[in-house]
Amino acid sequence: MKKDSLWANIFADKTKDRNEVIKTLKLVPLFSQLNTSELKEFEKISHQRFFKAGEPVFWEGEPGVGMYIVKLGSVAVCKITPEKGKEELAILRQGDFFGELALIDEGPRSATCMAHENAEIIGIFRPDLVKLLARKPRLGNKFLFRFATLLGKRLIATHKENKELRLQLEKSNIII
Amino acid sequence: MSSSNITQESTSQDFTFSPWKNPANLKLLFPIGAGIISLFLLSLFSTLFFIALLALVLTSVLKPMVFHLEKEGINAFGALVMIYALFLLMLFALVIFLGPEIAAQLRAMAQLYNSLVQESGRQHIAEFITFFASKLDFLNSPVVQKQLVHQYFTVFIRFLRGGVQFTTSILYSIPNVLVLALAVFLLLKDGDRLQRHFISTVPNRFLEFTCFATEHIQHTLSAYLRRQFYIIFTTTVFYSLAFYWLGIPFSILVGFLAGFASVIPFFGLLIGAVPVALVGIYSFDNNSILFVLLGLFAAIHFVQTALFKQSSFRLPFKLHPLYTLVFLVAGYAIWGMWGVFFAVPLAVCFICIIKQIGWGMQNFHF
Repeated sequence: MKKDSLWANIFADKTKDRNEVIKTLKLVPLFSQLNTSELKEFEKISHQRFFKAGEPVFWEGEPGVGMYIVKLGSVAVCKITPEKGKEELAILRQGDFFGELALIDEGPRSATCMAHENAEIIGIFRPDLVKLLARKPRLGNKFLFRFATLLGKRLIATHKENKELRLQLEKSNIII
Repeated sequence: MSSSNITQESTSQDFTFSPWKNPANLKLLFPIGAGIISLFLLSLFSTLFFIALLALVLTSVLKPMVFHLEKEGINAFGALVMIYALFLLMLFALVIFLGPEIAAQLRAMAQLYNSLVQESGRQHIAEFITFFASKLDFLNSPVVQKQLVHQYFTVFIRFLRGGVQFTTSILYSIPNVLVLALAVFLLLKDGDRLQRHFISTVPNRFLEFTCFATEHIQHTLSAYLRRQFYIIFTTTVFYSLAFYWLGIPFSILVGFLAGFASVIPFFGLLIGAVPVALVGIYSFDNNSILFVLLGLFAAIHFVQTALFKQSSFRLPFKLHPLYTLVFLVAGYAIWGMWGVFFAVPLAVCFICIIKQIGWGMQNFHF
């Protein structure tokens, strides 16, 4: 599929895609507990974009503005260093999301993400989210609570991994 | 495509949005050209520009109210209809109750303008200068006095003509109230959607920056315009009531002029005070009214400063006085009196955009 991302984004058929966006949002754990009318509010603030294979979504070190959800195609998460060049850390496919920390923190991106193949991506950005949360505090609480739960789970998993790693290192007498 | 030796620099070059490196990107020149042509056309239709600006100001005032109702659990469209109905009611009340009074004041002002242009103005100025000549020796020469009367009369007539033209140009816009009301409704209902449409035309590489920057610019400008609206509204009400109470003719018109002028930095008080002082002296034949007006202006200015110094009304950033002065002079040179009123808002808009672009250039890989 040879498609120009600039024209594809300008002339995308937004009305046809709305239900598809809601369907994709339902696949994301962050939004899985929201009902259809609540998902519609998120659909209203979402931006659908078409990315050509190899086109960057964002670069490492850029200020985080929002999160992305892969609707179609795939996205590569990579680290680019002068020594090793481009190193792919993960490939994200339909329903996967990335950059979600930028929804609450403006800190720099920790990795570069680029379209692995032609991809349709949904972007949700912090300024729109903040406005939505201010207008709909109940929906905001629900979303933020879910967000915190997922972050908590991730923290527990990281802590567990950290602990296991430490144990292994202790066993091999690397740290005492 | 697991791991390749593409460095960040070389990869970023492939997607840099440069028409020189990638001729296909030249097509972006079409929307840019269309934007420039629209701006040019807009400058030709100044009434449209005025309505658009007024609609933006009113939207920035009404939108937080719609959000507040939404926060209380009312659905978006219901909240919009409620606030819009309230706005229409106020507009209707304003036209019904103040319309006839404003029309009468404008007729009287036109008569006064005619009588002042025909010599009685010159006579008043001559009396005024004779009064000062009795206090200051160097004015006691008939040649100096004649020259001064001539010069002041010319300035006075020019100033008065400017004031009358300014007031009438606002009143000309009253038939456009329907267009204004419609524009406000559409901006309230579809403003966010229009913003999203604009963002959808931006290339991927600029998406995050555009989202962030437009939101920031919109927030800054809305806060600024809202603040200006509240200042104009409250000071106009204060001045009009005070002038009415003092028995100064054209209380609403000069009150509006003084209120509108109060948002102009440095010269605002002067621009607002001179017409009031002239009208006061003309109608009272007693120069002591000047002291009363001076006290009134000082009191209202003090109240205005006290009211709007709170953090919620403060400007998002400070404009250096020198820049303010430059923008005021440039505004006056380009658009005359209207330029003075819109110089600072346009400067705020301009600086806000430049700041965001500068921030984007530093932080994003364009």
